[in-house]
Formats: sequence, structure tokens, C-alpha cells
Amino acid sequence: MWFLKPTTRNKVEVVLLVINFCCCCCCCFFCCRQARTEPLFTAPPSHVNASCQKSRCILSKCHLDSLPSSLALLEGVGMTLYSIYIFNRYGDNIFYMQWNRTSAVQEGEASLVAGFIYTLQHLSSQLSSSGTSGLRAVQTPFYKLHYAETMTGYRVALLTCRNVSTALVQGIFIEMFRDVFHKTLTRDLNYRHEPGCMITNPDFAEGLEALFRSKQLLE
Amino acid sequence: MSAGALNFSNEGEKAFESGEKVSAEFFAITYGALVQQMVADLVQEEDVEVVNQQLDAMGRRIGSRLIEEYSVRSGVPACRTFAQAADAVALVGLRMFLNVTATVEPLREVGTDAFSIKFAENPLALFVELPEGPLRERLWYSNVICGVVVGALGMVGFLAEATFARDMLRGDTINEILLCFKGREKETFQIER
Repeated sequence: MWFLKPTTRNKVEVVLLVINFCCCCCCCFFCCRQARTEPLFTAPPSHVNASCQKSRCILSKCHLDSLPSSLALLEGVGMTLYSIYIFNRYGDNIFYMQWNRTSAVQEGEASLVAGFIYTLQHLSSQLSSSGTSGLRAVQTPFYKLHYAETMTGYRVALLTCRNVSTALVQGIFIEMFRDVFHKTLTRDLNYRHEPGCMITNPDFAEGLEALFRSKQLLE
Repeated sequence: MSAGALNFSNEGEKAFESGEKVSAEFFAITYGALVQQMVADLVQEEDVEVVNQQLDAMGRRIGSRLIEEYSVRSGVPACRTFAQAADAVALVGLRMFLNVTATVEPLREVGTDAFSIKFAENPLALFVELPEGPLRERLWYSNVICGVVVGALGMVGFLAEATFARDMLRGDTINEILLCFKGREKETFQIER
């Protein structure tokens, strides 16, 4: 079960309560893929108790009710960045960075993230009453995925804890495209928006982290 | 001018005002030196078409980068139809990057999805005179603009063709670019399985 939470600007935030939906979503896109039994990307805090970890694939209301203290503790923690994926218009994962990630990187993970955001973006476009792409964020009990795209086809997925507001990250994305992208990619003669061309300019990562630090998302 | 076109025109003006600016004379002379060098490098003096092609190819590479700046600074949303794209090129793009006041109108040929973009002043052609002969007859001096337009539209999913129809450097009364729609680009976002 999942809910659509419309905002005043007709944007859609998708709240997922069953992480398996992510797996089903990606499996629809990759029809020959086996359904995954593990969550795609989780970053459970170390203080979550064992019973919660064992049953994190399916979270019923009963589990939510029985974990008020853990969730309350989760809400009290400051804003945390987990990882960022950037894709070009050809679907290549041209940039990846992680900060406070607690789960191991899985093989083929970037492709699953790409399929996930691609499919959800199209779903939200078709469900949207305004007819435009409205995907801005997807939230699960353990993390939040923020999304943005440019008209030239760059797509960004930023995974954070749930405390980070959608409006804050959307503003950061605008600044990222306007300043960091413009200064370190568009004007970089060694970079082109072409298949297989990765971001290798170290100034890009530095500029990105400086931007996150200026917003108190990194220390 | 329709309300939509008026909005585009305002957005183009705002984008131009907020951008970094360089001397128009410096820009024109730099471009002139480039074209002159291309002409001087011609193996056959008559092969002026080669210069046109080189300017177009250079423009496409420039256009694929300018569209990135356009997408974050113009304030104009992504275009859904080629008619909107033609409006955006003429009223926002040319204004934003060249400070050119252009008009755009659809061609009336049946079955054609084509637009005519006209502008009177051309900042690239400042101080330029073409000598009589093959250059005046066959060189499209500002062909880089056509390449920029095609390269930029290609990055937002519109396959297009842009050619000069009239050029004041050749003695015409106005500069005119014909912009023809060639199709939508198919989805490029591919994911490895």
C-alpha cells in the first residue's frame, strides 16, 4: 500500500510503507530480474533493535506501533546525508558519492536506482493532475530519496534521512545545477554530455560538498 | 505578439540582463578572425561550403553546452512542442546569448513544420564586409548560429535543421534562418540489465 500526498503546487510526494513496492517497481522495469528479498537501499541506525532489523522488509502497522521510541529517537537526530547518484540523459551513472551510508554497496545498484527513479517519475507524471513530472521525493520509514531532473536529461537521486525537508533539497538542487554544474561541468572542456562520459573533475565533488556544508547537511 | 510570445520575450530580456557580458566588439572580431582563418586554410579557394560546414559543426558543439546554461538560467520551462521550441529559440535564446531581437513565424507551406526566424541586427557581422566573388555568393558568415540552434535543440529531444535563407552581408534586407522540424528524439535513457 502506498499513498500519494499532493502538495499545493500539484507536486506528488510518494510515501512508501512497504519497501517491497520498490522491488516490484524495479522488477516491472527489468522483466527478467528476480524479485529481491533485500531492501534496495537502507541505512538503519545502529540503535534499531534486532527484531526490527529482521522484519524490515515488511513493516506492518503493528511493528510501527511497537517501535515508538526508536522512531522518536530517529526523528530527533540531525539531518544526515547517505549517498547521491547522478545520471546523464543516456542512463549512465556519471557520479556517485556516499557520506554516512551504513549498508554495503551492492552490485548493479546504480542501475536499480536509475530504474526506480525513472519508473516513479513516469508514474507521477501520468498520475499528476497537471500533466507535468511531479516527482520530488520518496520516503520510507528509514530513508528519503530526493529527485530532480533538468530539461537536458540529467537526473539526480539524493538519499538522506527523513528529517531533510523536500523544499530544502529542491532548493539545493537548483543551486547545484546553476552553480556547481555550470562552473565545473558545462565549462569543463574534458566533459561532454555524451554516452559513457563520467564526471572526473575533482572540483565537482568539492563544489558539491561545499554546497551541502553551506546548508548544514555536512560538517 | 501573443501573450505567450510576450512572456518569452520578457524572459529572454531578463536572462540577458542577468548574464555575464563581454564586449560585443571583442566577440565580433574574435569570430571574424576565426572565419578568416578558416577561409585562409581552404585547400581549394572555391570550396566555401567547407567553411559553412565547419561553422555548423562548431556551432553544434557550442549549442550542446549553451543549452545547459539556458536550462538553468532562462526561467522558461521545457518546451513540449516544436512551435514552443521555435518561440524559445527566437525570443529567449537569441536574446539571452546575443541580445538579438528576433521574430518568429510559421511557414505556410502545407505539411511543413517549419519556422522563419528573422532578425535585423547581427552582432557577429559587426565591421564585416564580404568581397565580391565566391565568398559573397556562397559563404553563410554566421552559420555558427544555425549549428548552435540545432545542437541545443538536439539536447532537449528535438531533431531539427537550421539554415540561413537570407543574409544582410550578401545584400539582403534582413537576416533569416529557416528552422525545420525533423522529428522527436526517441527515449535515450537506457538502463543496463
